[in-house]
Amino acid sequence: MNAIPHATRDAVRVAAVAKHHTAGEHRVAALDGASLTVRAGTLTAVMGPSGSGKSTLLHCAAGLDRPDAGTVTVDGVDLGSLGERGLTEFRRRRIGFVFQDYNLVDALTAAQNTLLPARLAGARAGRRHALAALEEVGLRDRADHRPHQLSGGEQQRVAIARAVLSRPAVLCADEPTGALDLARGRQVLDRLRAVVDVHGGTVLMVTHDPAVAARADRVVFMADGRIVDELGADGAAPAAEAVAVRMAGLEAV
Amino acid sequence: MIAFAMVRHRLRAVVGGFIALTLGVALLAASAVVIASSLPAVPQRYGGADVMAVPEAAGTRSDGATVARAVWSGAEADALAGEIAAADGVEAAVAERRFDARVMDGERIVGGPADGAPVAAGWSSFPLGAARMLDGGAPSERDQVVLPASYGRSVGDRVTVLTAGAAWPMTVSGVTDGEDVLVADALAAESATGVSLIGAVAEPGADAAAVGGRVRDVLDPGAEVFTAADQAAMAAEFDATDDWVGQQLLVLVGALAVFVSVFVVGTTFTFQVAVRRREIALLRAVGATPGQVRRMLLGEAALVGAAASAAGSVLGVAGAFLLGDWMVGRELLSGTWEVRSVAVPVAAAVLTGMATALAGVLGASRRAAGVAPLEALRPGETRSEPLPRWRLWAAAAAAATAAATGAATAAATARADAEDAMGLALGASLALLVAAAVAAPVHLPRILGLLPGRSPMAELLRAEARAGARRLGAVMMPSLLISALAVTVLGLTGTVGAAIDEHSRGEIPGAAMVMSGDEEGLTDRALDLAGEHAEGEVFSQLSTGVYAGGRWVESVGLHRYAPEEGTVQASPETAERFGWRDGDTVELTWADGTEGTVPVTVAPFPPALELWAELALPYDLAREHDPGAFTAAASLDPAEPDGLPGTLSGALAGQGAYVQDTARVIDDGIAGELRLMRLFTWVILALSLGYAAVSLGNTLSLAASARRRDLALLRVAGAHRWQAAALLTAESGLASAVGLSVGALLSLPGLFALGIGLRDEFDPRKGPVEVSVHLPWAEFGAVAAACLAVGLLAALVSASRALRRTPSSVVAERG
Ligand SMILES: Nc1ncnc2c1ncn2[C@@H]1O[C@H](COP(=O)(O)OP(=O)(O)OP(=O)(O)O)[C@@H](O)[C@H]1O
Ligand SMILES: [Mg+2]
Repeated sequence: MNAIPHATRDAVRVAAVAKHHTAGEHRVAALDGASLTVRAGTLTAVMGPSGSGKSTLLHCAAGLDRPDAGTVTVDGVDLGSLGERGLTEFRRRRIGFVFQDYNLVDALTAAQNTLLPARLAGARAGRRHALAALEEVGLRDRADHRPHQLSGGEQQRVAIARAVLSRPAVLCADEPTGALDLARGRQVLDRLRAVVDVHGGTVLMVTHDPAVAARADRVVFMADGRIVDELGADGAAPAAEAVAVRMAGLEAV
Repeated sequence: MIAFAMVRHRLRAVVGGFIALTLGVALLAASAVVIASSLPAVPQRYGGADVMAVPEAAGTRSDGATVARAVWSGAEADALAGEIAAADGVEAAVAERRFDARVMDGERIVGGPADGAPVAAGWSSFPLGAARMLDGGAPSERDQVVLPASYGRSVGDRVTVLTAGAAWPMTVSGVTDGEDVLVADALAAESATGVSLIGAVAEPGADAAAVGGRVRDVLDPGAEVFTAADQAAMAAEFDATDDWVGQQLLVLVGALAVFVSVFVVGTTFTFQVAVRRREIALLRAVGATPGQVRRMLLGEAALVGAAASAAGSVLGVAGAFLLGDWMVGRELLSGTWEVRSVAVPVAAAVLTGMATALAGVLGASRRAAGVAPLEALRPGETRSEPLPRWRLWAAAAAAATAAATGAATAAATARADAEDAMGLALGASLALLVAAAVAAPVHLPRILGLLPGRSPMAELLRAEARAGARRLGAVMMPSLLISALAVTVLGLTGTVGAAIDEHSRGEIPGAAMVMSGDEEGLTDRALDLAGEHAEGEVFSQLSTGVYAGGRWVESVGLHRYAPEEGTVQASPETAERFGWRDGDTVELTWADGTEGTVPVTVAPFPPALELWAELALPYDLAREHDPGAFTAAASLDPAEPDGLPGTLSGALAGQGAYVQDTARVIDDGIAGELRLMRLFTWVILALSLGYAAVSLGNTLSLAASARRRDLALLRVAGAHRWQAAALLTAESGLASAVGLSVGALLSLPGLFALGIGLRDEFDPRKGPVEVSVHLPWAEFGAVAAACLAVGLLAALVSASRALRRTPSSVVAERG
C-alpha cells in the first residue's frame, strides 16, 4: 500500500468511545469509554460476556454506527468528521464487514454479491475480480449460485470474499464462525488468517470461542462497555487455555 | 444492473404496481388518442381548399362564446370571387352557398348532416372539399342532386330535397364519398342566406401563402383569410363538430387514472421498502450511499414504469378504437369521429406513465434512503415501526382545519351567505377525509379494538390490529375514498336530478311541440300545417340575426308574439345597448347582407324568449332575409285536442316532422340530461372500483406474503388453514367496512353544502329555490357491497396463496 511498515502503523484507533441506547425508560450504556488501538497487519479478537458491548464496538469501529462520545480513527481518517455519504464511501473503500448471519443480497448471485461494493463505488471491477476473490475462499465453482443455494459457511466465505475484494484497510467480522460447525468454522478462520498473513491486511473479529481467539495475534476482553484486559500484546500468541481462564473470570463477575 | 436484478427477483412484489400502471397508461392512452382525434380538424368539405376567407367578426352569439361574423350579400360575394379567380395562381374561387336541407324518401328521412354545419351547398363548392365522385356526375339541372354514399341512394333514384322554404323532387345525379348534399348553383343561390365563405383552389405548384396574400388584397380589411399553410388556424375556424361533453368525460377518466396510479404505485413501493428494509440496510452496510439507495428504487420504478407504459400503450391504442366507437354510439362524439392521431397522445401517455411511476416511488425512496445500515442485523420485518410524527401532526392539522372551516360554515350560514357556506363546508368535508385517511393507523386499531368476543380469533384480531396499524390503514384507504366518492357523486346526481326535474321546466307556451325527426329544425311548410291545426298562432322560433352598426343582434322570427307587420321589437336591454327608443326607425343589415330601415318598438319579451333573443321580427320578414335556415322550434295549442296528434303527425311526416306533448318533450330532455350525468357517475365509480380491486389486491397480497412467517407460526401453533385465512379475510373486511362508514359519514356535510349551493343555480329571475338532498341509497349500497366484496375477495385470494406452502418450510426459510 505505502512505504510505512504495517507493524508500526495503527489501522484502527478507538478513543474513549461511549454509546447509549434508550429502550423505553431504560438507558443502557453499550459502550462506556472504550479505547482500543489495532495495529495494521494483525488479527485481533474481541471477547467478553454477552451484552458487554463487543458488537457495538465493532459497529463503531467499522463506521456502521456513530458513537455518542469519543473518536474513531480508521486508516488515519477521523470517522466523526465525515458526513453520511462520505462515511459510506469511505466504508466501502477502506472497511470490509462480515455479519454473523445475514450477509448476502438474495436477488444477486455469489459473484454479483462479491462485486457489490466495488460496483456501488463505480469501480471497473469485472467478473474476473469476483472469480479471483471467490477462488481465494474456495468457491469459484459456486460463483453463479444464489445465496439460498449456499450453506451458511459458504455464504460466510462469500461475504469474506466480498469484504477483501477491494483490499480494505480493516476487515471487521462479528462472530463469523458463530453459526458454523467446527470444520466450516475452521475454513472461515483460515480465510481470515490468510487476509493478514498473505495480504498483510488487518482483521478485527468478535468471537465467543477461545479456540478461535487463540488463532488471533492478540485478544482483548470487554466487560460493561470497556476494554478490561488483553492477551498477546507482548507478541506471544495467546493460548486457548489462557483465554478460557480469563473469560471464566470475567463471566463470574 | 442491480435495479434490474432486484425487479426480476421481486417480480411478484411489483406486479401490483405494474398492473395498476398498465391499466392507468392504457386508459390514459385511449383517452388521449380519442381526445386528440376529436380535436378540431379542417372538415372534409373544405379539405381541397387552399385559401378560405370569411367576413369580419361582429360580436358573439347569445351563448357568449361562438363568434358571429358579418355576411356578404350574394352579389357582393360573386363580385369578390370573380376578382379572386382572376388573381395570379388561383385556379378557382367559389362564393359558397350553404343552407339547411333534408333529403326525404317519401315520409322517411334519408341521411343527415355529419356535424353542426348546414348540409347542403351548391355544386360549385365541390372542388373546395376532399370528397371524390364515386358514381354519376354534377347536378346539371335544378331537379338533380348529388348525395353522399352514406345516404344509401344510387344514381337515378328519386328523392325529395326539403329546404326551409320549399320541397324539390329530384333525381340523384351523382354519389360522392363526402358529407354534403350538392344541388345546382342557381337553386343554391336562392336557398342560402347570403355568403359566409369564399374559398379558393390554387393552381398546381402555386404557393398557398402567396395566393392567400392576393386574396387578402381583394377583400376588405376586416375579412379574415385562412390558408392551407396554417392548418391549425383553419381547423379552429371551420371545425363544426361539438365533442365537448365527450372530451370532458375523457379528461375525467385520464385524470382519475393518473391520480389512482400514483396512489397504487406509491403503496406498492412503500410496502416494498417496508418488507425489504433488511436488504436495503445490508446494501447500505456494504457501501451503498443513501443517494444510491434512492436511485436504485427510482430505477426499479422506472423499469416497472417503462414496461407498464409499453404494455399500456398497446392496450390503449386498441382500446381507443373501442372507446371511440362506444362514445360515438352514445352521441358523446360526433359521427365523423375516427382515430386520426396516435403517436403524440401515446407518447404523452407514456411520459405521464413514467412520471407517475417516479412520483409514486418518491416517498418510498426517501424512506428507503433513511434506512440505517445496522438494521441489517435485525431479523424479520420491523413490525412495530413507530408511526411517524408527521402523520399525527398532519392528522391534527387536518382536523383543526375541519373544525375551523366548520365553524366558519356555521357563521356563513347564519349570515345566509350560501356561496361561502358551500365552499367552506366542502372544505371541511375534504379536511375531515384527509384527517381520517392520515390518522387511520391511529384510530383504526382503536375502532377494531372495540370488537366484542372472547374467542381466540377475536383476540388475535384485536392484537393484529394493534400491531399492524399501518397495514390496516392501507387496506382501509380505498374503501374510504370510494365511499366518499360514491356519496358525493351519487348524491350530487340524485340531488341535481331531482332539482332539475322540479325547477328546470321552462315555460314553453303550447301543449304540443313540433319536432323534427333529425333534430335539425322545421320547414315553413311544417309550420303552416301546424298552424292549420292550432288554436291561435303557432309559437315558432326562427333563430336568426341582424346587424346594427356592424354588431350582431341575436334575433327571432315569430308567429305568436310577433311584432306588428313591417316593424321589429327590441327588448329594453337591446334598445338601451343601441340607443333606440320606442318608435324610432333604425338602419339594419339583414342576415343575408342586404340593408334596410325599419321602425322599432321597445317592449319586454315573453319569458320563453327573454333569456336569449335581443330582437323579435315578424316571421315572414325574418324568413325573407334568412331563407337558408330551418326554424329551430315550434309549439302550439292543438285546435281539436283529441284528433290532433294522428292527423297532424300524418301531415307532418312528409316534412320529416311530428308532434309531441310538450310535457313529454321536456321529460325526455331532462331524462337525456340525467342519463348523461349518470353515465359520468358510473364511469367514475366503475373506474374507482376497478382501481380499488387492484390496489387492495396489491396491498393485501404484499401484506400476506410479508406475514407468511407469522401465519406459518399460527398454523404450527394449531390453527387450521381456514382459520388463518379467516383471520386475514375478517381483518380486511372489517377495515373496509370501517372505511366505508367513515367515508360516507364524513362526506355527508359536503353533500348538504352542495345542495345549498344549488339553490341559486336555477332560474335567476325567481331567486333561490328549495333543493332537497337526495342520496340514492340503493345505488350507494351496491357500490359499498361491491367494494366490500373486493376487499374480502382480495384478502381470501392472497391468504390462500400465502398459506399454500407447509408451515414448516416457511418457518425454516432463512432471512
Ligand atoms: N438497538 C439497541 N437498543 C437497545 N439496547 C441495545 C441495542 N443494541 C445493543 N443494546 C444493548 O447494548 C448492550 C451491548 O450490546 P452488544 O450487542 O454490543 O453486546 P455484545 O457484547 O455484542 O453481546 P453478544 O455477545 O450477546 O452479541 C447490551 O446490553 C444490549 O442490550
Ligand atoms: Mg454481539
